[in-house]
Amino acid sequence: MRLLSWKLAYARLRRYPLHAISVAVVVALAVISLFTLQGISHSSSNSLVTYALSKLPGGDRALTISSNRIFTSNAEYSSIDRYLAKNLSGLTSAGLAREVLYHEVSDSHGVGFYFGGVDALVSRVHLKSGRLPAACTPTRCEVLQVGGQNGAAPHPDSFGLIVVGVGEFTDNRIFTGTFAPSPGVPILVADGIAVVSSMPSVGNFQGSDGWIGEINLKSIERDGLENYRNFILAFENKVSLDHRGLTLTWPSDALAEASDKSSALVVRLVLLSYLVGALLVAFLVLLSLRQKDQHFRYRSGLSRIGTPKKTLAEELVIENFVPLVFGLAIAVSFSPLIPHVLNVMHFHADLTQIYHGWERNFLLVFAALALTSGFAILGDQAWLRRAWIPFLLATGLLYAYFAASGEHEPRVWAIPLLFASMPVVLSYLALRWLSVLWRRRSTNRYILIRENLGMWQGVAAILTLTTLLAVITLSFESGIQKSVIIQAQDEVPLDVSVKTSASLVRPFDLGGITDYEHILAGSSAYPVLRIGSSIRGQSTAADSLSLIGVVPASLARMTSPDLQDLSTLIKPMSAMSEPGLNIGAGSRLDVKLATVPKEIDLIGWFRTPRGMHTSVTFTGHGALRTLLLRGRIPSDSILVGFELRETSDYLSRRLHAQGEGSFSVPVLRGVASILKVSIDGRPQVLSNQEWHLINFPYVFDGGRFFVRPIWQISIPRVAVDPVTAALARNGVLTLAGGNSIDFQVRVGAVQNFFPSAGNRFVIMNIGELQQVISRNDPGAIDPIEVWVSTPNPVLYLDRVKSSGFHTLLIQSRTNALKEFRVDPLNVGSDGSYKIALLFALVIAFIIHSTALPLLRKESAELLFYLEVAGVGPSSLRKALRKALRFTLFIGIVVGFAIGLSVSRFYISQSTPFMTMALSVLAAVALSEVGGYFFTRKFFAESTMVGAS
Amino acid sequence: MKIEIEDLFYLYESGDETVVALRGLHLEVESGECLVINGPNGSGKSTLVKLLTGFYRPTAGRISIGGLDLAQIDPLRLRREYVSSIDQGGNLIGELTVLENVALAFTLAGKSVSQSRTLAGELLDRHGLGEIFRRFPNELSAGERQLGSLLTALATNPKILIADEPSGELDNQAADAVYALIKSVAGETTVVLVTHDSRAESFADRVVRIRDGRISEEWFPGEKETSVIDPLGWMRVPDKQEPSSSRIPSALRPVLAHEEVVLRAEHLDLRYGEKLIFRQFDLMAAAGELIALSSSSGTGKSSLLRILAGIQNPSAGNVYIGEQLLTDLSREDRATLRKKSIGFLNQGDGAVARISLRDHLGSTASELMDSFGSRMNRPLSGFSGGERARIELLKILSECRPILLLDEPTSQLDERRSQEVVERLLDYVGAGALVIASTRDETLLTRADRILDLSAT
Repeated sequence: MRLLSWKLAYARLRRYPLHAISVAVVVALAVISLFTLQGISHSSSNSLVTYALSKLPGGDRALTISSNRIFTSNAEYSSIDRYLAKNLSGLTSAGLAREVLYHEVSDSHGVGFYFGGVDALVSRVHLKSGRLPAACTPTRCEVLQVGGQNGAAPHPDSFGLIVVGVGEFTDNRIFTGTFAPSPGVPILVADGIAVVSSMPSVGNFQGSDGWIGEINLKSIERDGLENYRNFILAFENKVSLDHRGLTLTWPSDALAEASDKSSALVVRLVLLSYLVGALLVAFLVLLSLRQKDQHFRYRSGLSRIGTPKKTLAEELVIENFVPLVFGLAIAVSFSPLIPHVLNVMHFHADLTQIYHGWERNFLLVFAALALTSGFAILGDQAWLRRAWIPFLLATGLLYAYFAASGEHEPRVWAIPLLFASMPVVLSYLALRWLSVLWRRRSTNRYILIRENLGMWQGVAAILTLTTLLAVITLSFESGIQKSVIIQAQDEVPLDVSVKTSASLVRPFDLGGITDYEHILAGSSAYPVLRIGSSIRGQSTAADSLSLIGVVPASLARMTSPDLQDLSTLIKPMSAMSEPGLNIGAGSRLDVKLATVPKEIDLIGWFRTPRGMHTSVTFTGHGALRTLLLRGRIPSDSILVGFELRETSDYLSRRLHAQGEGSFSVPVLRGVASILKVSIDGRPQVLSNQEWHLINFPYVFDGGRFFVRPIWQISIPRVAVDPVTAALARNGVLTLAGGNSIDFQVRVGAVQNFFPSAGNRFVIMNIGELQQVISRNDPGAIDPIEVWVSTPNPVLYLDRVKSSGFHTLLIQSRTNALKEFRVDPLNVGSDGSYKIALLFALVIAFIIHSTALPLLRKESAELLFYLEVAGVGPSSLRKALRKALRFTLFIGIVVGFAIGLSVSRFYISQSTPFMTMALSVLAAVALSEVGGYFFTRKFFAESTMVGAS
Repeated sequence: MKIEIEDLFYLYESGDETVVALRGLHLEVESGECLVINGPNGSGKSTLVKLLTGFYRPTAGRISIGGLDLAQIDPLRLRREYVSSIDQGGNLIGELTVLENVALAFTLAGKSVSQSRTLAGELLDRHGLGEIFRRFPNELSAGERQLGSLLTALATNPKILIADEPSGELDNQAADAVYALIKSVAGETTVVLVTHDSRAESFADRVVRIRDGRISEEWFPGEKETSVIDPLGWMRVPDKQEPSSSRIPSALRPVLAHEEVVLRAEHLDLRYGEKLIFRQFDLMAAAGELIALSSSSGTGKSSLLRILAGIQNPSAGNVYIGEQLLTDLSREDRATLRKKSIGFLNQGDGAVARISLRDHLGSTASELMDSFGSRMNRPLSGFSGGERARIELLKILSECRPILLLDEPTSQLDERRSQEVVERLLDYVGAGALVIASTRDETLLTRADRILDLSAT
């Protein structure tokens, strides 16, 4: 009887080959889509790591173990070496690079340099002049100079070091990050760590050892990012216990960001695979319902001659099973092409990765098998008692499928069920309810719809699901485009931004505003100052915000009209020039003090012509203090104030005594005066009213005391975010300015967004911000960033990087856009949405294009009845096409309504109405052409019985 | 195998009503006996067939075969091992070829798959169907289909063969072949034939008539005497009925001049492939005429009606509706002509099932509320076959077309309803319409102005 079941199933498949082929093709496409989504998931997850690391400076990308020269012997060093090589072998690729660095050694002329050593130097440098070091002994070591060519050349002879050449590093792992020398300071590199470590001449200098290894991307691919991070954390714990002097640094934030994005991507792709599965099941159930009557007649005929129920059940299962398995076989056969297709889409995954979790696809297909079998016998009285079995089986298989996907959130499981059911139910009801509109207006169309309501409802359901997915996909894509633009604008508010480097070199350390403007004609550069602040009266932790000082003209260059309007708001309300004394070309500055003890240092604060603030300590400890200006303070700098503070020696003694509970070293307090200020012996007139130089009280309890001219400003007007605005009292906020300075601002505008400011911000005039901050800390008011508006950002970027500013962090908005666009999270998600949508479009095309031919065949009796009753062929053709048009309308409207709601709530606020409208027009046009094409031969004269 | 039926009742719900299809039927069929059952439409013949084949379970009473209570036997096993059946349309499974259909029966009887194919082939060869066994049922003629069905039924060597109108759609030659085959197995197999065909009576052992769910009369072929089985318990249908209040309301009366020739057929030929159905058929039909087409199955009655309606083209000849040559018109124009002038009733028209009665009847609905009352909003599938047949006829009558072409208008109606329909048609004809009906209904045949026998052409 088993063979009989197969024969009976074969008879059905043979009779309806198109049905079987449709099922096989769609199953194959579904499985291929699922494999492709899997490949995209793998590829994008791997790319996320590379992407996250690529945004870091070279030295911050690697795993670095460092120690401060704690080793007592070479043997101990070798032991550490072996320990690290063994424990890091899985976490790093291509072995560990080792380095040693002695910090800031000064030669006899006071020229500073670093001295370091690496193994296999020749493979890590490019020689620019001279030759590579050949020999290195503890008393005489040849070295290569890297960097610092613009400054004074070091003379390290006294250390036994001989500079034989100049070069640059080609290995971006060494002497970077915390091992990077200060800007402008050269590093003298010897070949070989062992001999460097044994040189007695450098034994008294502070040194550090480093082991650097690149992140092992293959391990991440193999084990997963989260596991890789866990391995590193485990090693971090281990090394802290095994060797306390060793410190592990690694790009934890970057990898954490990549891990978070990877998790988000995986969830997204799992959801999309669920949607593909839901579409597959919906399609198969619809086809099963189309075949329901036929199969009922078949079963009845077989039952009439006494075919056993078991045979009938087997036949049903086999008949549904064979096309599914055939589809699976097709999918597996074509799957080797998937990596090539992914390559074309700029994803990279091999077959092992694509096949990962393949068994889930089989669970889904068998769940579909159970459902289609269940629907085939649903409502058949002869099978009433057993009808629940396939549905129970399907439920179990679907549960297993969800569980195998790795997502255990009920919310995530609910989505495909809602996706498959809600739009279907709504389109079913809409078609049923709205078809009554034709009841009186077009009886023929009404009859054609209602008599085949099940078929039309199925078509509408598939069209609804496809439209829904299309709306979500287009909204997602539009949302990405918009968010990328916002992200780029957030990163680079104008055309180019120049920021303080990782080694804390500030833009104004290397040049002034005009220097940045002269890089390319027509460019404008604007300084920016950022300070962390909080609102006084609120909890500091909860209310930290960014305090950003900008030049009003820079806001006028922003793209958003709202931001442009702010340029008027933050125009300064009072004079902006910082008061002080211009030293001109003076070479010597003398200050006469009164009642200032020798335990108090006097420091002069100057604003250089570039606009930066610098401080220098006066020599002497008596009443007369002197400062030699030449070579230390540029001419025409402005003396903006004096700072008094305890000498470091007195401070140490006082703190030490306090620590021991003694007050024998008292807190210095008193009243002092600055009696006279002379430049090159010429007394200078400083208004006491302005400077408060006479009889100022002081107390030094570890703090600093400033004497400087009063810089009066009115309460600045600012722009803030909505949350901050809500905390203002009568429109005024009191902000913390650091160093116990509080100041008030008046809220003049509320902005939802300001580039690079985060969620909580206060935007104000940079000059006004500098005024309030400088009261207690003149050194904290120098801009740390420059925003540039330029006619040619690409050219500007090229020039600025080759103009000696290359150590700064420089980014253009164009490049930022490119970078964000290739964010693997967005690219992977977008690609996956499109794969799912393509699958949905194929299904919709199959269902839509087969509707009329199927109707013609299965409703032949009804169509004959109508024709006999006097409905002409052209009316019948029109009625059929209009029924199809109506179904398309229902599908698009319901799908669009649900899709728009879902998109607005969960995907993106950006809705590309134009693209959607064009897509709808294209779909309608295709449907009309298809409808005309399929119906033109219906009811032709030649098809009439007896036609000659 | 003997069949014993004791006090058999079968009730079912039809809409709001409970229909008693069989009311205490008693019947015994001896082992090997060939019994013919006939009776008017709606008398319960088909219900009895379905009960004997296990498709229905009795509401009350008992059926036993060979002493086994049917209620104790699994219906599938019953049909596989004891009872085979065929009905009017044939029972070949559309997805299987003729050979596969017959082979399936052998397999179910316990033969291996390969043995079954061999035996099936031999059986089909023996009965002249050797050339067609690779064809599918829809590629066969009605006679070939019915023979194939019969061979499938007999392949299992059933103890009991039940045939429900086996010659219903067949021409004489095909019907002869079918009855010859049935006759050949009668004696070894207990045969129950439900039919009106007199050929069956010629070899039957006994004939019974069912009326209103009970056996009413019985006779033996060749004997003139008829035994009345149950003179008091069954409801005889009067020869002439007074009009009932629920009769079909009068249709609006079309106005046509009597005796005006409205339809003319000249030298019509009809061939299907090589097979000639009829030739040189001529007809002049006038307004106010009721013409009955009566001949055996397969003589082309339905096809003729379709030709006259313009739905089908003749192989040769012309049809005129008034002065308009029908065969000159396009398909579109013929539909327009039908809408205006020709009402056509196809046999068993259940094409429309899911829309409500109100929507189906359209603007005539308000006039028919009394007939159907609250059931107007019910989908047509909720009405019985007989009611749907009435509804279709009602619809056609309400459309007031001057020519009505009806294919077996009373085949699904019981005697009472049939008489009502005939009265209505006569009314319609009296108003000046031309009605041409293909029928076996005795009442319609006796009231027709003319009876045409296509088998003579």
